[in-house]
Amino acid sequence: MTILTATGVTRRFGGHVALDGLSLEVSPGETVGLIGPSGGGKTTAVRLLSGLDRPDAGSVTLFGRPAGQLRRRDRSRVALLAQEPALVDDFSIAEHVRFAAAIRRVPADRADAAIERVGLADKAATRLADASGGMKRRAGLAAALVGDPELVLADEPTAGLDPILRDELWSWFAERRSDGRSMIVTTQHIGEATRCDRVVVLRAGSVIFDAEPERLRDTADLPESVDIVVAPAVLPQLVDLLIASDLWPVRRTADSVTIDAANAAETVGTITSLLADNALDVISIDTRRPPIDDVFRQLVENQA
Amino acid sequence: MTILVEALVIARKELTELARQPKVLLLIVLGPFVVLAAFGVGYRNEEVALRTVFVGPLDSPYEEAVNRYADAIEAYIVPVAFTSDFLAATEDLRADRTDIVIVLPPGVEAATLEGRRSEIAVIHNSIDPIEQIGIDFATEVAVRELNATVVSATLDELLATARTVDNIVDVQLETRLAPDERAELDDVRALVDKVLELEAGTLARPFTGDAESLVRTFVRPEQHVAPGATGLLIQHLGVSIAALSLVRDDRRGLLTDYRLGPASVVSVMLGKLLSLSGITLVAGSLMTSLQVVFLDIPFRGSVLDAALVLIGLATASVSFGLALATLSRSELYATQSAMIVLLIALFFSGFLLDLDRIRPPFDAIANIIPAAPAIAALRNIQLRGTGSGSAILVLAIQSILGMGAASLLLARRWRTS
Repeated sequence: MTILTATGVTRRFGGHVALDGLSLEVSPGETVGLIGPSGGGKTTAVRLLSGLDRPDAGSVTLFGRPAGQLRRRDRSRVALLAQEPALVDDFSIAEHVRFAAAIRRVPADRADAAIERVGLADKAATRLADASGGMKRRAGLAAALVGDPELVLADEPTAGLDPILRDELWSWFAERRSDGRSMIVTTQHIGEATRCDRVVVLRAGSVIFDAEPERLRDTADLPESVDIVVAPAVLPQLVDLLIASDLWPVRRTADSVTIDAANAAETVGTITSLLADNALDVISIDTRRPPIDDVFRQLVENQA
Repeated sequence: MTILVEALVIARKELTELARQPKVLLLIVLGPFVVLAAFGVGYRNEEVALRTVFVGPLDSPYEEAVNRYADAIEAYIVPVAFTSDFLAATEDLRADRTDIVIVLPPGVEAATLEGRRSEIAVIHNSIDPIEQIGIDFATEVAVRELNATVVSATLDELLATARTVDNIVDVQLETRLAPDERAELDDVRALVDKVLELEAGTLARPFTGDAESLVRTFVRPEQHVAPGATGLLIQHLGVSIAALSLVRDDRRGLLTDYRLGPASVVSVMLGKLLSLSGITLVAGSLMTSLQVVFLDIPFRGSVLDAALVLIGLATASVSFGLALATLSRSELYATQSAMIVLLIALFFSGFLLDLDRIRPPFDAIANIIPAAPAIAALRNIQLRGTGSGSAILVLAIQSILGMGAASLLLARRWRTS
């Protein structure tokens, strides 16, 4: 069973194609990351998937009905969390979340629970106009989640947040996932892709990747790295041996060298044999996969 | 029921938002009152004395007439000097040392004997059309008065001469006439005696005028302006807060929240109408009360009629503002649109100019301006003590049309975006 199904969704603004043939399915409890550079079509996708905008081609169904023609009770099963949450500045945090609850016809005690859930119970009386950016984001999140929607579409919810608050936000998202709730999250932070069940990478409106985040690295033609740490005294000898074996160091410190390797496991075997044959003591040998940021950059640039 | 609950939630949000801005509330209520009070205190409700220089031949009968009959024409103009120097007189006019120059033509006696009327030229330096009308009127009346005074003096002399002649006739002719001729002379003498009993002033000015109003009391300018100012300001308040409220909610993303909420278009519009009309109505009621209590503005009609007109004005104005907001994408656009509506209302609501002076089809503009029926009704209720006429019906129709247009436009935007 799927909550949301998008098929060949296309949206044009004048001659500009903002989204080109997005197809997507979201199941209960699934978190899908829409990732891409600025102008990639993420916000357009969120508006189309939530039924706020209509596609020029393709279709979006939510809970089995066209997204633009949802019944009232189905509409309340979806929530939108914008990058800059819609807040009534003259309200206190508690008043705002209760107002959001009233609009969704949810009891006021659920508002208090939502405030507590985002860690604002002791700040509930703070006027939003006087609240910090972080508090506003949390208040917006509480307002979006107060109706316990089955699907939340979050448009760059972590943009501009410090790493601690960003982690907290993802923890709340994880809690929702464990409760069987679904999410579509857009982000420019590729690192956040690893927290999703599935990642869709958008570039200039087109989908260039759609799979589990672990498979993201598979698409990249980037070398892995092998870091060898030895006693400083033996390092020159090790470097000579590596070069003689056609293993060229890309980085060197007082007690270590790093080698790029197309096949890290095979290279580690070669180095281990080399060290043993020459009776050199090694402190450690570690392999590193290519940084996810580099993978993303290559993926986007290769599709340009 | 659901719509009403949603509308009340949104109405409460609007009221709370405004209540948190006491300075805005103070400005809304006291601002217009202070402006009207300043106008009432500062307005000079007296006839403006027009400083007048007469230009004509020195030692002419005009100079004598002007000097002699200055008292008679001082009700209309203030004679400052009589001169033959036209250039100096116009120079004084340009320098704002005088207000009018009246140029009396030479050779009037000869022209009169030839049966021609002589033309008096009146020169002023005003660019204000209303002031120009005043100057034209005052000088025309003053010149007529001057004419009448001269005619009156001439008649005086003629009557004196006639009395002398009558006496001579009495003494010298009476004994020489035949009996039938004497009878005819008696008839003529009776007629002459009647004429001789008349006063020259009455002959020259047989009519006097005294305008009387059905209102029975004098209406001061600030009293006349007050109901119009209330109507105009309440309309502007309703239009602008409604337009800004909807555009601000749109800009902040709250309309998207309402849409996903889900709240219906009717709930959103009704919530805003209830709260913003309430605020506008409170401001209008306070303004009217303050005017009556502190500015001595009359209130001769029914309080219920006035309340109904204010309710109608508030709802029609807010509906108009909401419809305007659905066409606006920014607060600047909404603000400027509200200002344009105010400007239209200034000219087409009857506040400045009587609506009868506006030609078709432009007079139809008044039908879409909530202030137009409200101002006419408030003037009738407050100043004449009569009813509101058809104003309440017109305002109700405007409210329904405004709300309908606003709801349809927002629904269309939600459907097509």
